[in-house]
Amino acid sequence: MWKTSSFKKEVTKQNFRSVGWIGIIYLIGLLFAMPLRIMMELSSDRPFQFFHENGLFQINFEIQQVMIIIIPVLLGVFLFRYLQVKETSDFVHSLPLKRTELYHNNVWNGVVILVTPIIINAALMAILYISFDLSYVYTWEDIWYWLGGTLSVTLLLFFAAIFVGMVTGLTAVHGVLTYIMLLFPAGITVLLYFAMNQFLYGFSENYYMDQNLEQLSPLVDTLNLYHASFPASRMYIYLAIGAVLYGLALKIYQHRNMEMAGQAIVYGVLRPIFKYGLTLCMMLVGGLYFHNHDTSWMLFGYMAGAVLGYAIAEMVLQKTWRVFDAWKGFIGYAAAAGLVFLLLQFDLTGFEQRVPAAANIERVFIEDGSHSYQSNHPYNESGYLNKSENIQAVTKLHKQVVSSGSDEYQTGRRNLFLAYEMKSGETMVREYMIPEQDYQAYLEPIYESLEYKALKYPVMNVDPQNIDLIRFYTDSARPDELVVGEPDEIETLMSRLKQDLQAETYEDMIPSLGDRGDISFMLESGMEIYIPMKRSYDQLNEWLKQKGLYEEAVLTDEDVSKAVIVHQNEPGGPIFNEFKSAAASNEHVWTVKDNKKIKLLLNSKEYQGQGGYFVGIYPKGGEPMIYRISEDLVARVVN
Amino acid sequence: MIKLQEVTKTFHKQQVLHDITFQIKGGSIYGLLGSNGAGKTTLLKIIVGILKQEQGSVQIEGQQVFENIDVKKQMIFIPDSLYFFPHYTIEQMAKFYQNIYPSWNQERFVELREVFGLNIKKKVSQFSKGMRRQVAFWLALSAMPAILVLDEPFDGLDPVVRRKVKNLLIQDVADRKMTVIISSHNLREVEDICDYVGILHEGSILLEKDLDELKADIHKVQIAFRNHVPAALKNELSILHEEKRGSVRLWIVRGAETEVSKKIESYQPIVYDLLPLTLEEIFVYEMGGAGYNVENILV
Repeated sequence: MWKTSSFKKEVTKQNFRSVGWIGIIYLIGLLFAMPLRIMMELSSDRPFQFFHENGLFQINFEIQQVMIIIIPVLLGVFLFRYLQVKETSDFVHSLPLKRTELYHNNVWNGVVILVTPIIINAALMAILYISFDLSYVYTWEDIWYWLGGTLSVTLLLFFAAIFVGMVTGLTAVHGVLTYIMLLFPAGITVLLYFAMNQFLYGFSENYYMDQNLEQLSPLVDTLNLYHASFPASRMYIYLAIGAVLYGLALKIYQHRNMEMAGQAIVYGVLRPIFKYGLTLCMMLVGGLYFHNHDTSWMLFGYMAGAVLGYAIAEMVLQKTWRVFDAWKGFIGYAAAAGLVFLLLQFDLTGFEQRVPAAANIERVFIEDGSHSYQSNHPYNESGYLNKSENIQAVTKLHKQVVSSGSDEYQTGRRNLFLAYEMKSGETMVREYMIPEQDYQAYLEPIYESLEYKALKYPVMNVDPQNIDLIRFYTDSARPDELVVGEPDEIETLMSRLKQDLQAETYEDMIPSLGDRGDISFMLESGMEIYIPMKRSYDQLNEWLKQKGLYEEAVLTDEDVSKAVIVHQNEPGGPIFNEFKSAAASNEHVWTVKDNKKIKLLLNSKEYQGQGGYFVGIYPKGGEPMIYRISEDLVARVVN
Repeated sequence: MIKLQEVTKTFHKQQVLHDITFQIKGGSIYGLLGSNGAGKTTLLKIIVGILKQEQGSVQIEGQQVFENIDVKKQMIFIPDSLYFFPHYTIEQMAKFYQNIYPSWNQERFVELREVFGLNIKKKVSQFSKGMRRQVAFWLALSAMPAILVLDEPFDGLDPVVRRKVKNLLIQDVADRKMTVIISSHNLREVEDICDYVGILHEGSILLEKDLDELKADIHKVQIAFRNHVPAALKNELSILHEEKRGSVRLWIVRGAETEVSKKIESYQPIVYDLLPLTLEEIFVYEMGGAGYNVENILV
């Protein structure tokens, strides 16, 4: 690619004289952060209790992260500062050196300045490892992982800085623009998701936000180094992107007009991109700032953000704050943005109204959130519905949700997450907040279907022979938990439980106030799965009663010392605190000790009332269980 | 030979140079004159390959300059605002030049030390403005360039140093046929060393002259006749300008000296002197005829 002879000794010397200090700082920083830290730990009596699980990034990660983010960009900025200052640029470019030559010379000087401290540090870590036999602290792989991770991120950031340096003509803009570029893909994506969530009813912000957004920004991605979740493949990808930027920067350099030193953006083509890009970003930030307020405030936020972004861009480009005459471009932008707003607001793309026809759907995922969607966990209590009657029921529900529209002020709302997989292979994802009580008729057929239950209760699919042990974790206060381990008992218990689950109605799925704890199934494979313990499992409870175990497994009125009902006028804050403060006052406090009434409470499902009533059920010798209850229930219990 | 053809350059959609075509002979000193903002610096930066013209070509000995190392090796540019690496001593800068310019002559560098008398162990940034300019000349001349391009080179130099530098330049031009391009807004500053002069005005070359020819060609004549001025003589001579001072006429005449003298003497004037013209005067008369006011072009 280039001749070694074309490396000019004096140019290299000059580079090291002017930017060598960055490498020295990096080296000192790394030495203090890592080998010295290890030696400090070695000389103390404390045992090592960290980083052997997730590797060397665990050692003083904050210092490592700050350096990995700052050092390469700083170096890139200083190394190519000669481009941004007219005198230097003229001097350097009057010398008999090709731009290509200068570029390679500078870049490789920079690479040496960056890489040397990293390699020295890795070598020292290796020497420490051998000399003190630190195999219980870290491994050889950890050293390689650290080396690969640090090198790939450092070099990517360095080449990104160089790339930006070729496009800009001001050192300050160079630094800022580099970080903007490194954050831009992730930032703009997040901002767009926020905006879509504001404008599109049914847009699943959570789902899209979970799509490994950190991969879109190397800066955020450094966190994956800490968690050792930065795969080796990404190191290669980073290096590859670095190499592409290296080549692109050279091409841009070759065509750079040196008279543009001192201009924010050197290439005319990029000026509008910069200007309108910044306007768009600031507009979205403005909208985000007001996203919890009503629509007029939100629109104000968008407009103010856009004006601000446009003004800042103009100020940077014109290098003056008096940019009042540059409003023409803004009119165009505002018109385009307004058009997009209209598109979203009036759903001209049909996003909000779109409910796929059941016939086109292969399968559908329904849950109260996106967290378990696309999870590979074998017993994650969710999955796809394939049966056509269920698919139909889901689309019916979806149509109802769409036609009802959103009502943010309705109470008792919960999440509904839908993901359709179409026969054509496409996926369609929606998320809503729905007041569940209004949709009972639509949810019932889905929730009561065996297919749904098989997903919701993975234990239904387990062969009793594969179960080693069944535990009832019903009372954390009582360590003598109930355990069933005899194979024939397990068999009987399982067959009864399955009958209960199959017969479980929509109503029964909602736990009662007295329900608590889980039943755990210990599988042969070592896996443990749970289902909530409910007093509505008739067959199971019958069997428990026969065995004389019911009293232990289920909270009965016998186990409860009292129930305290309070009224709190101005609800707010954690439920526990609210209850405590209301119970401490003397007004509106009722203590219930009558067994019948306690039984009524325990069997009741009417919680989540909004009247400001709370009940605390005190198990004997335990902490109270606190619920909001409806006024109606209070009326039945008190008096 | 440096050859520019239809060179055009635009900054921010504004044309700074349009259609510049001219040549500079090897071994000559070319003065590029023009007021501030005429485009001199831009033109020089194009000639030395810092900037690239949008149209046209710049060739030195038949080769394009831009990104051409072979050409740039033989050329040094001393800009208006000088640059030295921060914290570099003269010695370190010399080392840098030595590494970059193959024609570097260390003996010459040592020799010139006597001329400039500056401490080579001292950082360049610690010198005064005028001294830094001397350092620039010192380094440039030690690199033995075939072409030396100077942008307003005598700013900040005292008359003694100015003379010293001019002598060095003339010596190199004489000894080894170095070509020098000097830009200036001040005609008087360069008229004593330039062989050729070009005037750049608003991005175009307005006029280009060989100074020796020019000086030989235009004369100031003081003349008086016993009676009236013979009309025939006025027709025979090409008179650019005429002034009356009593009975003495002051003429600016174009033409070879001997011929002019012969013609005039044939009419037997009672007073006749042929006086030398300053370059400035020449331009005033030459360009006055072309409709330009020289004072506006050359400050």
